[in-house]
Amino acid sequence: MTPAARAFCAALGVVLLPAWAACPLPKPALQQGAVQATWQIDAAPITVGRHFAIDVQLCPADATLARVDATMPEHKHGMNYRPSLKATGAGRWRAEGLMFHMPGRWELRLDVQAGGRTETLVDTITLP
Amino acid sequence: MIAWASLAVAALIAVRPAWAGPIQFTAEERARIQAHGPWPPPPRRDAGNRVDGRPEAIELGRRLFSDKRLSASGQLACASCHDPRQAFQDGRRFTRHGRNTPGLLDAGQQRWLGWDGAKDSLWAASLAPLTAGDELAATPQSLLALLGRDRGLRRRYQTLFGAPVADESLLVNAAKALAAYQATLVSPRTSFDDFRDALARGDSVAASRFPEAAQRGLKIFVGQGRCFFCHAGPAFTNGEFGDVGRPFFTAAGADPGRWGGLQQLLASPYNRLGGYSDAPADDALAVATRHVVLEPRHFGEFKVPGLRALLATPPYFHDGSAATLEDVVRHYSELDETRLHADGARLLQALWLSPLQSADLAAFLKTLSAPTRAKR
Repeated sequence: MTPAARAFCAALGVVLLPAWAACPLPKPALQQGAVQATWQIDAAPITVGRHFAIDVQLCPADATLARVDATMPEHKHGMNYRPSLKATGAGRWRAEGLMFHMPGRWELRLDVQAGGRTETLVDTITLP
Repeated sequence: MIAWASLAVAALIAVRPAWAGPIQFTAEERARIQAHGPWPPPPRRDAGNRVDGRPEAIELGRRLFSDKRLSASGQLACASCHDPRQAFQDGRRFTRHGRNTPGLLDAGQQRWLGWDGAKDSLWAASLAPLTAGDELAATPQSLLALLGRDRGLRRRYQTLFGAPVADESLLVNAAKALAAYQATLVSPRTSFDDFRDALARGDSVAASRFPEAAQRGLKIFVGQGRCFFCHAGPAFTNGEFGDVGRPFFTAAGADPGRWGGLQQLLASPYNRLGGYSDAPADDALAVATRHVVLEPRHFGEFKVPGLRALLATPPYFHDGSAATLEDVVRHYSELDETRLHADGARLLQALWLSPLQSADLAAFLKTLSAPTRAKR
């Protein structure tokens, strides 16, 4: 929605429902600055060497998921794949093409643009 | 007397009675062991190959696989290098390309084909040697001539693909029939699979039949050896690539491994994203090709091979430089860490195994081969 359209809706007293309805996200959501996110895998569990996708819910809902990446901090390497991102509406995004090729501690990083800033939200996943 | 007593004690250590159950594995180790099964896995159907799984295609592929008339010279068939009697490998150290010929058992489960992963489907991997000038060197015209001479072959082709046309489709279709056959080449269950399943159902008597040396070797594999880091899952591979410290210099110069393979893949019209794939645009198996990234660290990386049917496929490593499984174990035990690049904590470290530990690890690796031959 364009800023002009958003202003028009606000003037009419329409507060962009249901896009804003999800905010704030229930705990345990990731939070950085004014941005919150939750994510879930499309088919649990994450398995070494198998591709997976995640569905991400952002708050505010008009935030943009700019990048999803994952790294192994101890080994200083990332994935062999760059996930693709697709907005699915109401602050929801789908990231496809993730794959963890080793067990151990991975950091999932979500770069989110909102309010003219980019926030990085980090979650930790440990594969046995 | 003391000598006899010592012998008796040694015998007790060496032969663990069935009632004693398997050796102790931690909960974490047990979970890792379970991740190496079940076996066999369900077939991985390839929507990019419209004849995959069709009996007529499997039969046509089986016939073509051993047919030397496919080659321009009339002297070479797929089976010449992928010998069914040797787990579809040739036993030679390496070919003129400087790489060891990969076996084809379980190839249908693989995301990337070839040591450099330059192919993302079995049919693309079959097309390359079929048409390469220094391999079978088949052309649309030569295949059409073959189908003209052999009515039975022509009938089988026509049933699947319609009337043959002397263009690229003829080569691709032949490769897809070859792929349909190769997708059926699954390595048989092994004594490790019996052990893994026995552990899962808590059957300690059945689990105890797994040789104790192999159990100790398995404990190293899923423990201090960290072999499972890359040799993950039921096929004992994460399907990706790594540099394990083997040389990548050949007589022809440096072998770029994955770095070169990935460039070939992305430029190929025969990859899963290209027009020769029969799959719809949202093909689930194309997810890897769609998202893979080329990075400098891929230089000198080679595919992590699966470990099933190992006994039938010596020599080992991408350059065939290890003649035996004991040589492979020695490589990891005495690894030259300075040879490996690492920005952070080293993934690979010399294991410095004792002679007994080395023998145990090799004993375990040998249990990943079944004594019987694979289904042909």
